[in-house]
Order: sequence, then structure tokens, then C-alpha cells
Amino acid sequence: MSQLDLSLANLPQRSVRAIMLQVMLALIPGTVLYAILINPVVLINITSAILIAMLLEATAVALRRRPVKSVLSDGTVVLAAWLLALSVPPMLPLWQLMIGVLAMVLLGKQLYGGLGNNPFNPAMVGYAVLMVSFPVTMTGWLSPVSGWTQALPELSLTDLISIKTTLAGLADSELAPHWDALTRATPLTDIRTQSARDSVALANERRYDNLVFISLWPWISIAWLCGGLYLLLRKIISWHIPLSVLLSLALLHALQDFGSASAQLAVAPAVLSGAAILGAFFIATDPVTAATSQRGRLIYGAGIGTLMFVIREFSAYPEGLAFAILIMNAAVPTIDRLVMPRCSNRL
Amino acid sequence: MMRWLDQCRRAKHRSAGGQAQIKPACRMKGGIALSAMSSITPVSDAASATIIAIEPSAIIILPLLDYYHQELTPMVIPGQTVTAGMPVASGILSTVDGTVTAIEGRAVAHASGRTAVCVVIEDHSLAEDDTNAALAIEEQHDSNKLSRQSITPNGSLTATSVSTSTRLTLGNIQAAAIHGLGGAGFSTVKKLSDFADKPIQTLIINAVECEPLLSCDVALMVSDAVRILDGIRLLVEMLACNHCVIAIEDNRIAAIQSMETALKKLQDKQGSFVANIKLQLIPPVYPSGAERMLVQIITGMDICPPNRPANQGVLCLNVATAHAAWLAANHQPMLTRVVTIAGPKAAQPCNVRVKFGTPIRHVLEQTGNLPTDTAVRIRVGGPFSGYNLLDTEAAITATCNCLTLDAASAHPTAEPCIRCGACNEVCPVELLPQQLLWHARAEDLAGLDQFNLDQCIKCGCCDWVCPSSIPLTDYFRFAQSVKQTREYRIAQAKLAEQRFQQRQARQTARKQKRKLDIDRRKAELRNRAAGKTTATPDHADQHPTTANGTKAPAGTATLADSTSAQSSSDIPPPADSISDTLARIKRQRSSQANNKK
Amino acid sequence: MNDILVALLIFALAAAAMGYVLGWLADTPHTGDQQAALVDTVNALLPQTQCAQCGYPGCRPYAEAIINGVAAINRCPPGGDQTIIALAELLGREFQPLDATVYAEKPPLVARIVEAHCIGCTLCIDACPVDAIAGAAKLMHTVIAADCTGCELCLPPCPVDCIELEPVVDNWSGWSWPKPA
Repeated sequence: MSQLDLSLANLPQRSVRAIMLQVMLALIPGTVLYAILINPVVLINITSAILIAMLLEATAVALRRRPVKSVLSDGTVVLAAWLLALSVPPMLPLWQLMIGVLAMVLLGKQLYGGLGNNPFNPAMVGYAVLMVSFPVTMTGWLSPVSGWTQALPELSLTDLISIKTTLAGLADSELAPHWDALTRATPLTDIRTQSARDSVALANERRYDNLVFISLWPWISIAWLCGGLYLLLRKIISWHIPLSVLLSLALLHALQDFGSASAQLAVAPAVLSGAAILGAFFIATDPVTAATSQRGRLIYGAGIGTLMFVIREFSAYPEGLAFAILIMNAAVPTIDRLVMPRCSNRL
Repeated sequence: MMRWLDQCRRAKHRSAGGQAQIKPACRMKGGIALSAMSSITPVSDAASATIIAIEPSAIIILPLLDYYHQELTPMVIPGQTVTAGMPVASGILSTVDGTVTAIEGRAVAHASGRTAVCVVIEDHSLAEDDTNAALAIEEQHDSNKLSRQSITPNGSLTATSVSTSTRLTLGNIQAAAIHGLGGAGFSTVKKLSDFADKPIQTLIINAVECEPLLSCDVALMVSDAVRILDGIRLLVEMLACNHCVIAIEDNRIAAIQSMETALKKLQDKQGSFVANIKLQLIPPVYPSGAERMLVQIITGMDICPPNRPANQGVLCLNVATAHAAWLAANHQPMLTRVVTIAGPKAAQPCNVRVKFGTPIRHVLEQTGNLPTDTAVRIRVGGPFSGYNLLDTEAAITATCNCLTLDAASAHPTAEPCIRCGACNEVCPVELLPQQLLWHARAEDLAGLDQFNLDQCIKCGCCDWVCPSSIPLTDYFRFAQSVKQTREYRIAQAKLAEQRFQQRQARQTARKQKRKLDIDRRKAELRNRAAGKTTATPDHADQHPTTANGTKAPAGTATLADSTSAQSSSDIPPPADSISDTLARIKRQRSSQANNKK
Repeated sequence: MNDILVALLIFALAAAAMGYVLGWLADTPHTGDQQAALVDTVNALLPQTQCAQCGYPGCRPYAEAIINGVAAINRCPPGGDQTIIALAELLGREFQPLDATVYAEKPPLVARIVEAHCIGCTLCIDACPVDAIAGAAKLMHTVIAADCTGCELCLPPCPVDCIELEPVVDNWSGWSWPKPA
């Protein structure tokens, strides 16, 4: 017997399921653009990841003797699988992706007791497991500029699918000659390696003209941004986390740019490349693993932005979103404890 | 937001002379704007403008419970004749002229659906000729100072001119047994007398409905604004306060107009004195009708319990209390209240004036709202803070501000908390409901204290926004209950321990004293035996001869006792008394030995 | 090989020594003050019925026995599982179900004297640990219900068996909200 009477309530989108559906809706434009501009295989990745994730979740929930239907219908596992499939390189062999999904559902979520009890973002747990297990394929990005255009005449979609479904993935495939074209790094990796060997002037020229702005990544990032703004508008997410993530990231990149004239990313490309926008709006805002108070969320977001910058600049990984989020997830209880909302002029 | 601005503008435009202040001093944090709940619409302006009267009920049931749900001792006996306004227990007045038929357990309007001891009164006015009986009883009970000349059996008031000579005193209020007519029903006398020595600067008249569905205060303001304002004037005079703010939601336009007209009239009549009574419009955001929230909106001070507004020079009274104050000043007790009947299943939504103690079934019958369908659920209070009524025979009390009729529907099953923080944002007292939930589930009192469970006003906003449909407020009610029970137990245990320790201390003291006595007597006997020289102490009882005790004891064993033995031996006790004493000691020893076994 | 064994031995010994020290530090209160404070804390968790069902004459003696390691934590029937859990948490001991040799867990009780049968012998007054029985020799006795802890110690001494134990009447202030499902 509840004291609140919900029969009088009109709650247009206030259920976990409705929230998840809204987030998925916001993911669609970016995903479509990704499929068109970068690689249509991503759609296969997403579909298969979702299917396997649901299957695993259903099994785990049934084993835990919880109602399977209601757990599956909340849509959280679908969204997590979708996000994982978006964050891995599109040409990652399917079986590796499945290992990621397995880690995501079981290690990241169900082992902790399912929705609401997991301290770490499940999608990022899956990503991290993949990253440390399969570093080669996980950094093998299809370079949008050279890779796609060069490979396209020679590779049909069925070829791409066959590469993906081959157990060994790229290495075993008969398309080995296209290896170079297929495994070009993401712009971030490009810049990392290039800045090391090219002269400052060359790198400067390249970074603005060739790599980042001409590449198609920023357009996808803008699509993510549109989706994120839609979520903000519908009040599905609050502005605190995206803003603080992007602001801290941009600020640190700007400081670095200001401090040295070396060949580094400028601010706008730095924010628009990689997974910054997707992460800031869709992944870091996962309410289960984020801080809860508004000030806490600002700290949490700023922490993610800072760690992303640190990992991008000072570690071997080209992109630091997953580890930044996981580390800040671990810090959430502390943040929540330290940043209790103050009560104004309480007497 | 836009809607609110629009409403403000509209209200301002319509208000006569623009007396009402539009912008409150402070905004309430959180809460739920009325525009966000389009399905909860108050009773229409037309329906809320009038207060309908109903036929009196044949029986009146008055629960003997106070604000804290402590049982009260009845001051009447079955068979006794009572008059309206006569106390049946401390702070509870009979609302009719009649006979006490029983004092027994009856269902009361409470979420638990429990019974409580109630005074059941049969109404005379129905059985006999109205006026004669009433007059006769009135003569009988002349000692009762409350005259009822201007109150009809329905409780509606005949028009009386507002006199300026009447004065309001605490005594009046006490005699009229005024309770707050909001959701809590706190005794107004207690509210006023607890802080009698504190100067009150600001009097806030709470004309904000407790919940969006309600319109009982609005109805009162529309129908009787003149008396309300005169009551406010009397209260201001009594408290000698500097300001008085009447807070009204800005979308209750009929009430605002009515109050402004009445205020103007009063100002014309009273002149400068009432210049400091102001109307204040506030945005319709639930739960701004809660005392703590309203004080915050009006004064900007967030006064959280156990601190009370009166400590800060602020007093908050309901608009219906002001009305009752006017009645009290005119020696009329508070016997009725306005009840809103609303909800999607209410056949005829209305505001009705009901005597306390009227069975809820009777109220629903008389207004044509008694549900025929079993699927209709009756709630006492609004959708947020109400509770389901389990027995329609329960009576209307001061806290029954609304009867909500809606379709019985099961609460959706609670899903896991996804920590979305929606509850944090709507919490008007800035708690973290989701953190509290963890501790409430675990019944972890330390954690609950850390997150200030005590501050929860149980408004239900968090339940409203929770995407996982978790009944948070129920958990908090439960947790507060657990806490209270545990605190009570601990207090009881402390008391028991104290009593145990005191008893132990007393027993040890007694034992020591007895031991001293025994030693002393032994020493005496030994002395005497030594005096006799032939007798051994073992056979002292066989030789109960008196000894003069002049000879000193042979050993030094009882040296410490020798002084007392000597002093007492100045008057030697009679022989048989000594033997008696020894026999008693032996008995006690053997019984002690038995106890040890 | 020898090196490995030596290393293992050193580590095993070091671990054992440190484990022992840590365990000793965690378990034993070292000063009298600490011990007294601990007794106070344990005593505060006990229900203070002074019923002696644990085998100790009152709640504080039982608390002392627990701290001295003499008594188990599961010997308090009036406290029930709640008390055992609280004690287990406080002292870092394992939860044990209530000792079967003491009485079974009972709801809160209160004693009542059947007034018609009372002969005024004062034996129950002497037995009551919390002075909750009022009366005098050859006059009827009565239990002060508010002070009665329901310890049952007054039952055995009564020569006419006129004391009954009843469940505590659930009054309004004692009502609590149910836990949501």
C-alpha cells in the first residue's frame, strides 16, 4: 500500500524504460552518420552486441531468480550494448566484441546485483576488458580519410562482413593487402605518432588541413552533440556532467596549446575528435555510476575531462575515455560523501 | 515557468487596485510546479466558491487521541448530556447537543486503519424539536461560557456585523479548542503558548492549499473573507506583531479577489492599523503550503525542526485558523471544518462544511459522492500526502482536509534505483532521498541520521518523480517509525537500568548495615560471655543472662566495633530481645543460603 | 631451492607474527578505561530487563562477561536477534542464533497480578529487579506496567501463582509504519 497515489499522476516519460528509450532515440542520428561516413559494419556490431547482451542478461537474471521480462524491458542493457559497440573500432572481430559484451553484462553489471548496484559503467568495463585483452585490434581504426576511400573500391560490404565474422579477424583474412588501409589509426593516434617524427611546421599544417577537420569524425561528434542537446532539452540528463567534462578537457588542451608551440591538437579538434562528445553526453551521464548531487556531478565530470587529457597526452593509449570514467566511477562514493548538498541559511 | 509568469500577470491584472505583492522573498527549492501535473486540477472555481451545508449526522464520533496519538482521558461518562462546545476530553469539544451513548473503540481516520477509544454522541437536534432542546440544554449548562447564538446546527454562520470591540485572548482560543486545520492538526493554543514570551514580528497566514487538489481554504476565503480578515486583525492585535503576510497561490484568482476586496474594506474601516497586513502571491508549487516551506518562501529563513518559527519571531497560522480565531473572539467554539471532496471518481466535487465527528460515510452520502463501485478508493487527504481510508465509518477530524475519490489501482512495482537524482532535485528540504533509501532499507539509523531523515516532511515529491516507482516516502515513514521505536526502547532500557542500579545500591546499603548490626551484636554477646567467663560464645543463646559488659573483650578482633558496642551497652537490651535477634539472623541466613541454591 | 624455502619461511613467520599482533590489537582492549568503555557500549545494547536469563545477575554483569570473553553473545532472550546482530557487529564476532539453553525469544511482555488471588506476601516485590511492583505486607500488590520489563523473575517466588505475563498492549504511540514490500 503506497501512500502516494499514482493514478492521479501523469508521468509522460518518467520510467526507467522511457528514459532509456529517449537516450536511444538521441543516439540514432550519430549512429546513422557513423554508418554512412565511417563504416556501415558498425550497424552489425550494434545489432549483434544488443542481441548477445540481452541473451546474457536474460540468462543471468534467470539464474539469479529475478523476473526476466521486467529486467529486460527496462532497456538498460540494450543501451549499454549499443554504447559499447559504438566505442570499439568497427572492424573489431565479432568474437572479440562478444567477449566485451560478456564482460559488460556479467562482470560489469550482473555480478554486482544488476541495475542500480554496479559501481562501474558496464559499457566501459567491457571496453576496458577488450582494451587490455586485444590491444592491437582495439586500436585498429579505419582511417576515415585514406582508409575508407582507398579501400572502398576494392572492398564490398559483404567483404567487410566476412572479415568481421572470420574468427581470426583481419590478420587471417585474404584481404591482407588492404591491411594498411584498414588499420589506420584514429586521428588522435595519427597525431601522436606524427608529431613525434614530423617537423613542427608540417604537423601544424597536417593537423588542421588533412587530419582532423577534413576527416569525418567531427561531423559524427556534432551528431552526438545534437543528440546530447536533445537529452538536455528533454531533461533526461542534467547539464552538469557534459559541460564539466568538455570544459575541463578543452581548458587543459588550451593551456597546453598556450604553453607550447609544439604540434599538438588545437582545442576544437581535441574536443570534437575521439569519444569526447559521445562520452560526455551518453556514457559519463549514466546515472547509476555517476555522482548524484549537482556539485558532485561537476566534480565527477571535471575529473573525467582531466583524466581523459592526462591519458591522451601522457599514456600509451590514444583515447582515455573508458579509463577516465572507470577511475572516476571508483571515486563517486567519495565525491558523494564529501559533497553533501549544503543547506542554505538553515536555522 | 512561462505559465507561472502568465498566471502572475493575470492575477495582477485582475486584482483590484493591485494590492497583492507578486514576487515572494524567496523561492522554494525543489517541489513540483502545478503546471507539471495537468491531471490534478482543483475543483473548478465555481464549485470551490461555495461551501455547501449538509444534514447533521445522527451520531458523532470523537476519537480520544491528541496530536501525538496519545490517548486522552474522557471527561464525560456514557449517558451524560452534552452541549455543543462542551469539552469531552482535553482539547476535544462536543460538536452537537446530545447524549453520550458510549465510550468505546471505533475506527478512526488513520493510515493504520486501527480503532481508538471514541466518545460517541447521539445528536438531540434530530430526535427532538431542534430549538427547544437546544435551548433547554443551553440553560442547563449555563456554566459553559461559550454561547452559540450565531451558529446554526449546520455550522454556517448567520451574518453578524464585524465589531471592533471584541478582543481575542489565549483563553478564548483555548476555550474554542482551535486546532490547525492544515494537514497536521497541531493545537493552536500550544503553538501560541509555547512561545508566549517570544515576540512575534511576522504573522504568516497560510492561505496556500496543502495540496493541489484541495480548495477548502479557497472556498473559505471566497465565502467569508471579511471574517477571516477580522480574525487576522484580532490575531495581529493579540500578538502585537509588526507585519502580517497572507500568502495565496497566484492561480486561485477568486480567493485573491475576495481577500483583496475584504482587505480594502477593512482598511477603510480601520485605517492605518491594518496597513501592515499584506497579501502575498506565491507561485503554485507543491508543497509550498507546508509551514516550513511557506516560512521559507515568505521570510527566506529555512527553519528546520526542532527549531520552531516562533523562535525566529515568525508565526504561521492557517487561514481557517484565522477564521476560527474570529469565532473564538465571539465566543464560538471551533466545531466544524471545510472539507474538499474531489478526485476523478467524485460524482459531485464540492467543498462542504462538516462538524468534527461526522462519519465520513455520512458526508459522502449527503453530498452524493458515496461510491457504489467497490473499485473506488477513498483517500483522506490529497494525492500526495493522503492515506487510504479503510473504514468509511471513521469520523472527520481536524486533519481531514480532503476526501479524494479515485480508482483503486495497484502501485507499480518498484524497480531498482538508478540513482538518477530526480528525487534530490525535487526535495523541498534539500535531502538526498536516494541515499536515505539505502539506509532506510537497511534500517541503518546512523546513516539515516547522517542524511537528516528527521528533516523529511514526507511531502511525496520524490515518489512523484521517481522513474523506478519506488515508494520512497513510505520507506521514510517506516524508517522514522523504526527510529522512534528504537529510541523509545533505549529510553525505556535506560530507565530500567537506572531503577535496577538504584535497587542494587539500596540492597547493598541494607546488607552492609545488617552486617554491621550483626557484628555489633556479636561483639556485645562476646563481651557478655567474656564477662561471664565460663560461657563460650557458641552457647551464648543458651545463656541469656544479662551481662554488665564492664570487662573488656579478650581478643582485638572487634576493636573497631568496640566503641559502638560500648555505647550501646550503656543501656543493655533485655535478654529475650537478644535471643530473638539471633534467631532472626539465623533465619535470614538460612533463607539466604536457600536463595543461593 | 633452498633460497625459496628460506624466503617462504621468512614470509610465513612474518605473516604469522604480524597477523597475531594485528589480531591482538583488534581484539583486546588494553587499558581499564577502554574495557570499561566497551562494557558501557555493550551494556547500552542490552535491553536492560535485568532478567538474568543469560545466567548473570543483570545486564551489566553479562556485558562484563562478554567483554572478558567468558560469555557468548547469544544469551539474551529479551533482546533477541536484533541484540545479537548489534553485538556481533560491535565486537566483530560471528552472528550466532539465540542459545537454545536459555529461553526462547518472546514478544515484549508485561506482568500482571491477579488481584483477587494476591495474598500480599511481598515476595514478588523482593524479586523484582526494577522495583516495578508496588504493595505492602498483607495488602494487595500491583505491577506498575510502565516500569515492568517482563523479566519473569517475579513468577517463581509467588506462593499462589497469581502473576501472569501478558504481551505488551500495543498502544497508539507504539504503532509503526510497515516496511514497504
